[in-house]
Amino acid sequence: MISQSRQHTLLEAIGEDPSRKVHIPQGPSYLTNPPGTTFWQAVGSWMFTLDHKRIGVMYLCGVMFAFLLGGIYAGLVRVELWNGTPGFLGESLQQAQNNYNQAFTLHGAIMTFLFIIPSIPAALGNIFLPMMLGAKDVAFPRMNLASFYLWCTGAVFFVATLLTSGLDTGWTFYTPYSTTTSTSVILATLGVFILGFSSIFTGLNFVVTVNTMRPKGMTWFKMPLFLWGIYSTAIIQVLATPVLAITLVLLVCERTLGIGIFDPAKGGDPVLFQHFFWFYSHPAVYIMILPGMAVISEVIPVYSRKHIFGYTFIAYSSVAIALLGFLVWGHHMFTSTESALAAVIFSALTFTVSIPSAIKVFNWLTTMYKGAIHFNAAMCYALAFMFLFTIGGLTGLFLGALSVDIHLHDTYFVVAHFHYVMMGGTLIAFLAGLHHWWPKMFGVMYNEFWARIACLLVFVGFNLTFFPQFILGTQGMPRRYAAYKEEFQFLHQLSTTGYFVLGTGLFLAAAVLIISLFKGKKAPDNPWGAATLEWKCCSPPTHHNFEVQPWTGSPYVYDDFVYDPDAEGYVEVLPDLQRDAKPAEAPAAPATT
Amino acid sequence: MADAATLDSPETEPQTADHGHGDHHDHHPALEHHFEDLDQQFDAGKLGMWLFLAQEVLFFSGLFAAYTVYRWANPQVFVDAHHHLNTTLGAINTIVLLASSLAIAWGVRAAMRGDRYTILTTHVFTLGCAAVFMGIKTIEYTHKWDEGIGAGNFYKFLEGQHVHGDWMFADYVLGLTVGSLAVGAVVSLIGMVLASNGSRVWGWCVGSVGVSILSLGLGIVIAKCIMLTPLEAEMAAAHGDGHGAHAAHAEDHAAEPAHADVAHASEEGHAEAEGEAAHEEPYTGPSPAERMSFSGPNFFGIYFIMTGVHAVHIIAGMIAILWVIAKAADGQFDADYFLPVENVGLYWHLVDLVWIYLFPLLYLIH
Repeated sequence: MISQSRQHTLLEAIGEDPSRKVHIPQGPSYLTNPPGTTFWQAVGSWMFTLDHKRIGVMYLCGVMFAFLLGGIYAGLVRVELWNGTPGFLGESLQQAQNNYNQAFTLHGAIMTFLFIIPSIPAALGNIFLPMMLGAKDVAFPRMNLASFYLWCTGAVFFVATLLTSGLDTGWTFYTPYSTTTSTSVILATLGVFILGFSSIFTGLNFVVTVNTMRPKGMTWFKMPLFLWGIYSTAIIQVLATPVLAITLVLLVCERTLGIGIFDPAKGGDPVLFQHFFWFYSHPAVYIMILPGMAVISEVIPVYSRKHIFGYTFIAYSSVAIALLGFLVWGHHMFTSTESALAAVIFSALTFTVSIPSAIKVFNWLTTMYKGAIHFNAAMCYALAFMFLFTIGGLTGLFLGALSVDIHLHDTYFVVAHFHYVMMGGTLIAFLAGLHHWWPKMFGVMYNEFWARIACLLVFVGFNLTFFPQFILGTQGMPRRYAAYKEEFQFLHQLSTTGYFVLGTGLFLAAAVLIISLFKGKKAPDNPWGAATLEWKCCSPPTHHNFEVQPWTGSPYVYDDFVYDPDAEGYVEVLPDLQRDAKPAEAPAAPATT
Repeated sequence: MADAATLDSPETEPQTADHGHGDHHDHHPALEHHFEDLDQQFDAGKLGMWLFLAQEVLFFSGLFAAYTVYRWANPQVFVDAHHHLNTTLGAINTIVLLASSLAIAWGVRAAMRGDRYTILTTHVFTLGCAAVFMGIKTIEYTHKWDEGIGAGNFYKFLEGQHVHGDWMFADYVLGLTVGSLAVGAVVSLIGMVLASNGSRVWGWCVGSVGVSILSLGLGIVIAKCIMLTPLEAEMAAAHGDGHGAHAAHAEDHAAEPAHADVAHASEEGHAEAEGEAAHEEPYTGPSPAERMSFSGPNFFGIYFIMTGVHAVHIIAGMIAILWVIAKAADGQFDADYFLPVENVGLYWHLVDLVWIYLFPLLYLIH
């Protein structure tokens, strides 16, 4: 795994003083219950757990289930589009088109609200945010569990939507169609409302945890960048989601009582809904991508064995994206009766978002420059992320430019753009994080070779699926249409083929990880030589994470982590500086404080 | 502290005397395992509450934004429609909420000093104020229903007509009043009996519920009395709105000269050749009453949603206050630990604050 030339031996590093090797105490895994626990006690110990790691694992299972469901709907959409004449989803043309509307709506709504938004913060963030702080738990463990059950309730509402008359408004619920369609808009919006509060609770918890529970010595600018990203995300979650909540309350009231907020016949304005919706949903785009960037900021330096370049810039750029994200919602409405002045302002502000995004990408690149890059699966996903996110981000500029957007609005160019950002960005980053932290979460090593093959398949499949859609869009293929002209068929078929390659890659990745749970080798405490605190406890951690408070060093200095062939992982070696001055205290102090 | 000590049953008395400030090894019973000390727990809890309040402000911001957009688009509709709101009742509710906020702030101060008895009394007073508010709101809402002013599809307002047939909430208000006063008194008594028999927590909780029901009745009485005073009837008539007409039925409609003139003139204006009439008549548009019947839904849709969402927050706040009363009666708070008291107080101030904006925006516009 590591080139021999760069690897110095443990013996070399600790010199004559073996006690300088930091010993990590082992304890019972948080995944297991004490011996003698009955089955139902074990079930209860998971259902009512306040342990952030168990809640994170339950979230992980939940969002993966949602991802599967959303992916199936994506497949229905792609298979229907194999031919220009609808027929796969229904006997008659009308029926096929109705079902097609339902399929893309549910694909979008499930992926957005049930998968992407909770994926990294609620699953990975829940497990690793407190551990990176060296804390025992998040600030409000009960609220954390409540947020998981709110997520479950929201998911139940979505399943109820599927089982009743479905949903065909698109995931955006635009009025006036959403107030008049006969599908289950109320069930779905209530589901989103509940999921919104799940998201708010998670965000609130994270902000408070980062603010009040940092260990002594970890100032704001000594935090891992993952925490900066999650913190910025959490701020958006707390401040943007309630606006969506009240908007959906108004939508439900409009449908049930006809209060006239969005109904022009009663003095209302359907465009106001779009303003309200995008005031949340544009920042929500950053709820989706910022955690992805946060994961990449952790993965790149570890596998490049090099200190992150431009730490403060990456940290500030997360905050800048969070703040700017609140000011650009109008770029979704360039064609919705927005004034020319407003459109120009929103367009200009949209361009400014590209600055902090580019800062991140350049800093990651510079981190890798002259680094000792290890192509582990997590790093492969991180590289895929950088490639795909760059394409996604740059095509965003086309859509932010007013004149070009008029041509590209509601075409497949938009579809391809946001899939490159949301899926090529967030999902790939999620997979990078999943592979990076898998040994810590479950204490097992997966098969690197097959994980990398899966990554390659995902990368190829993804590009095959979505790159043709850029071309389709510029040629004028509108989104959300089940039927199309013959000239578009080849590109659509390429895209559908890509879906199956991508799906194969994802199933392979899932198989590699799941097999590792049963057959994987036991993971060392620090298999990648990362310096953040979550690697300074045993794998998998105990219920209280740390048996002794870990020593808070710089999160990106890897010099003190040397490869130990016996452990097949890295161990931390304490600096030698004070050995001569205070021989008795220097080695022992960090391990016991 | 002396009062608090005599009130506490021995088994729930925390050992406040043994607590040294800043002594981390001394585990307070309320300290949760993942916090280092009570200070950290307090900071976390309070920051969490402020974030929750920020979230609440943004939740309401959507409503305020909708209000702004529609008032800017239809200023006259808002002026016409707001005459159907009773300013006096709104003002009394404002005073009631301000008094409740003062009381709960006093309660938080008492909690900081460790004065448990004052926590209880101030919170029961706050709960009572909240119930008076809800009582007055009940009369306001039911009165609107009787006039045919509902939200959205339930908006059936026609000047001077009973749109819901003979079924009127007003007929049942007396029963509601007597019922809530009687039930409230009985429940309060049960609470007192329980408290004197030694079960302090149940006593205070049941007593507080009794006070709430009693105060609800009180609010209804206050609102009904205000609406029956001659001053209110005069004001209603001067505005030419539905209050007077509703009370005196449709025949008395003609007795409002100012209003009838405008309506009459506008009808003539429509009947005659429009070009000429426009020069002679100062105003040829629809009368306020006509405007009300087709534009009112816009204002009242917003009115009912805003005040309705606010009322839901009041009810949630009442439940939270009851929870604080139960914990305080159980003797769980002392000068070292009063976080829930402070957080519920903060929440209650927000509920009050929202009303401080709602009152002028809905009741006092010109």
